[in-house]
Amino acid sequence: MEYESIIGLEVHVQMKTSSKLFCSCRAAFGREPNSLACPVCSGQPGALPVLNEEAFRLAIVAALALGCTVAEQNRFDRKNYFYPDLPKGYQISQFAYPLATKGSIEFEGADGGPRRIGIERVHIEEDAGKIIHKADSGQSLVDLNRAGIPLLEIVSEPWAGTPAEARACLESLRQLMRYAGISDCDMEKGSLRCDANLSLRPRAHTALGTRTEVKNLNSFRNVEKALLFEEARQKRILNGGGSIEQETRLWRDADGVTLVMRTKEEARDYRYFPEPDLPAFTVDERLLAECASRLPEKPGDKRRRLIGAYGVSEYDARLLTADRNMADYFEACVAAGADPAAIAKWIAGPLLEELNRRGCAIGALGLGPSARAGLAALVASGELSRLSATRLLPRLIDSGEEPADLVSAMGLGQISDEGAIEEMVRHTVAARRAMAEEYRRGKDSVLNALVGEVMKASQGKANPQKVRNLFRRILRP
Amino acid sequence: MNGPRTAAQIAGACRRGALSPLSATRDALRRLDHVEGTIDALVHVDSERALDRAAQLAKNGPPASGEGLLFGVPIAVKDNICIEGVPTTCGSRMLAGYRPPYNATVVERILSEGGIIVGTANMDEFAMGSTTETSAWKRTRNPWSPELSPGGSSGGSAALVGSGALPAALGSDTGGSIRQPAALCGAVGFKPTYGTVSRYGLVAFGSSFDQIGPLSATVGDGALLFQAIGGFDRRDSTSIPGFVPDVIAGLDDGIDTIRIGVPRELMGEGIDRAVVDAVRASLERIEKLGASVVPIDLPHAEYALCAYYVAAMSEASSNLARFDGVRYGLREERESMARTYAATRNGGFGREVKMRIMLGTFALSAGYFDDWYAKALRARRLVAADFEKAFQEVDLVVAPTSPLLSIGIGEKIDDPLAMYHCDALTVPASLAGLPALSVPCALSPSKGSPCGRLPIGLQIMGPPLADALVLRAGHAVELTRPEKIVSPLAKDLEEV
Amino acid sequence: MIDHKEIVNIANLASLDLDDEEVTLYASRLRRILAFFQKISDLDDENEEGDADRGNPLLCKERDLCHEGRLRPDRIEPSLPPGALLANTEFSADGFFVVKKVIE
Repeated sequence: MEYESIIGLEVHVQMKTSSKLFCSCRAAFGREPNSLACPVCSGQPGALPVLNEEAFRLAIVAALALGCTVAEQNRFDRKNYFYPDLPKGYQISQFAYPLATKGSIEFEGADGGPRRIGIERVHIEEDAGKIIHKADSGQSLVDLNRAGIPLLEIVSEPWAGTPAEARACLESLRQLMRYAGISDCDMEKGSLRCDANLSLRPRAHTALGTRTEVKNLNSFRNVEKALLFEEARQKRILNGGGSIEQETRLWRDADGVTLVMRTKEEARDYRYFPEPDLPAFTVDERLLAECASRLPEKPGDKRRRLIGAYGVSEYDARLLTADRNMADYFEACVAAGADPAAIAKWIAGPLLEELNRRGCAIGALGLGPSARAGLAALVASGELSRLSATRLLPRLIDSGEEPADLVSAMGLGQISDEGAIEEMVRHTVAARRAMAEEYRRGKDSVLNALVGEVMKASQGKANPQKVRNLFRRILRP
Repeated sequence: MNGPRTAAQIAGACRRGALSPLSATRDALRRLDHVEGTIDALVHVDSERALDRAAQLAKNGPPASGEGLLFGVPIAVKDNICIEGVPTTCGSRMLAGYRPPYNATVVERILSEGGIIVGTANMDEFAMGSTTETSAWKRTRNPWSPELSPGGSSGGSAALVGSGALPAALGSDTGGSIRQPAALCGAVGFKPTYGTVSRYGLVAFGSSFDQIGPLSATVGDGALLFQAIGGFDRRDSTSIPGFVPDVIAGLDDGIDTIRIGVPRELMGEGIDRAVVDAVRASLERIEKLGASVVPIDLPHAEYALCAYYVAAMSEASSNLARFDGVRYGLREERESMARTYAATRNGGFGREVKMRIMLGTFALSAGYFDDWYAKALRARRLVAADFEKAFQEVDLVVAPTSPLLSIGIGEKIDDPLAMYHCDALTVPASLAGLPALSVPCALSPSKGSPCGRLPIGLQIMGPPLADALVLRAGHAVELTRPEKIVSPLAKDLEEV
Repeated sequence: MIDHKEIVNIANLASLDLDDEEVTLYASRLRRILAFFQKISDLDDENEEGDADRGNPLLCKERDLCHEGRLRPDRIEPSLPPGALLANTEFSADGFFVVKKVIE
């Protein structure tokens, strides 16, 4: 029996606001326990929620970025249940009238081509506190710093797909949310969390099978692994003539399995009802337009534009648009006079390497566009070889000096003088008689090694093109 | 005892320098001492703190003109309004020893207007009750007769004012909890328009009904206190943006052009004879003042009580979920988290509170939501619409406040439905969020009354934001009362 | 409508640990009260528009002023000092609230 998997994702994204959703406590991660709480977010008797304006706007921007229809009026509801990390004994969320519905998101499909799935809803809710389990004791510890941080819940429409697609979808979502400045989407810091669900049905059938939900997924890789496990587990049961129980399961990474957390009978009754402490909120044309103006160009659209408008290669464009700040930087350099192709290579190459080496994002470097443009101009003009520029970059970042000044100071100026290069080439021909003979005889592949010798001897300063030409002239007149 | 007695008079005298806040406070504490043994209305008193504050105010001297509305005035605050660092228990074991880490907005405003909070007033547990008998601490007694209940849930506040010990106190009203005890204790009780007084710091019971309001000996003092505490608060999203109270200036304007409607449904069966008679007599006096009085209909009034209880209890069941012993309050530790929660809540809440939580939980639960909660909201809208329609014909609606002349302590406590009926006349205004005032209009006849003559409250309701008009009408009624309304205890105090 | 099993179910939802005596008492009381409240089921089930503002009567009317003053600027204000937050419970340690182990 051939089965296909119907997959769904429920993602929670922490919005990048300064303060919490319903109070003015700082919204931050990793501080002293219970140092970021107030009467409101700690659920003291008598405290009341007041909605964060920026969270409201960011949510609308996110909804628009996902192509959703933003409701004219949305409302908050109480989701009632008891848990030590839930100070009020209910979570303020949106149930009946969410912020937005009916959007979509694109990602790389299983066959390598683009795949687009629907987004069922996007709504706003508050985060709960954190529970830390003390090993070997009958106790758990509660920290309310996280309680009340603004969350966006994004629910996908179920699609017939693969666990790998679920992962690709999440990557695409993360990129989009970062692009739009909504969230850092860092699973390690908890600013993106994901529950996944899966059901099987025989191919070409239309009715949906019973689905199970998996929680406690702390990486995109684990989402894929857990869904693969569920696929296999459910297949085994169905093939054995059994039926799937509607359950909520936990992913146990150490063992690579999902375990039952809650059965259908134990499913909670949340008793949703309209939050009486908050009015309904309207999104009128004006607000919608304001939020739309905050929308960034989508990653895919930007990539296509960079290729089309600047002639950037597909490869470079992909690298440049992975991070919106990098793409913006590229365009700023071009605007400052840099040659697009050269600077694209430079940013996607040496600069990206340097960033990775330092483990930081482009925004953290104090390298202004004019410095870059200056450097790129030097490379393009042939005065500075690629290798020298790479060596120059760390010092350039740290000292903040003008490229041209540093080039002279470090003696990195590219050697382009014909006479000097000829001397080095003849020296290498003499030192590497065998290789030079092979090249003279017609073995093209040796040329690179010969050029490499000169580059090494000149500490990368020789103009590689001129070196190449000279070897040809001398050995193959 | 002569001298300034009303809050307005005390504040005025203190501002003029004719009276010291210290003296006013000492006086209040002395009077409280005198009556407390009889009425048992206070939960927490901190005389030292009150005197310290009074001394500080006296030292600072009178404030700039236009400020200090309550300068030097001793006030009590219901035990469900948060005062930073002061025990606030809501009459419940669940919050024994709890000291809020913050002040309610109304407390901040009282303090900034120079008021002196002398203590917290007893109440039905979590404001759930109509007789102040569900308090975990004690039963407050009516200053008119110790076997009688002062009403509830703001029974403590009402008794403190009705006894003459204090000129004013703050209470809270969800379904009548300010108005009804005011009526039974011979005090003025005002529930302002929903959204005009901040709920920030009021321990929530029925969020879309709760309002803090004044209980006072005179309408003028009620207006003064409302003026001081009312107004938009950005910390309460249900408070009305831009609202600023303006209820003192026009208080004396009279009601000679006012049209008054009397709903048949709120003057019918189930109301004590003495109450109906007193209200009718009062309406006749009102007509003599020049107002016109006509009968009106509130066709959906019969659904009001159900709608109120279902909606309020649903909200309450959720509002009380935060009492789980994790961060504050009672905790009954057991072997597991789930058992700890359940034991804590079962042990910390009294019977009436548990019952209402159960009812509210039921009304919101899967399978029942549409039949109960959703229907209650429908009924609510219909009642509100009835009022809206009525206010196209009349300016104010008048009815009795309490269907019962009196409630004996112990009489109704085991009969929840009978208890709920105490609110039958006050819940309509709560459902519609209207301003509603109870003003003592007469004393019952002495004949056939074992407890002597008892005060009867007239309820005046207006359209949303007509607080000034409602108070003005109450003031007019007060002025034309045929007799003084002073409890035996208060009379006693006057002679001391 | 309200039997023993139902009461126990509601009590669980509400996290109330009722004993048998209480269950019996509440069952009979709830039945009586609900019988009285049954009245509101007389009301029709018509669907009304604008359900978004349900629950709060005055907020419906002030719909146009909805946002004025009801949206808070994204500014940070001081939180409670940790001491203040933990002061109302004896069950705390190292800055955390301590509870019985929560089983995952």
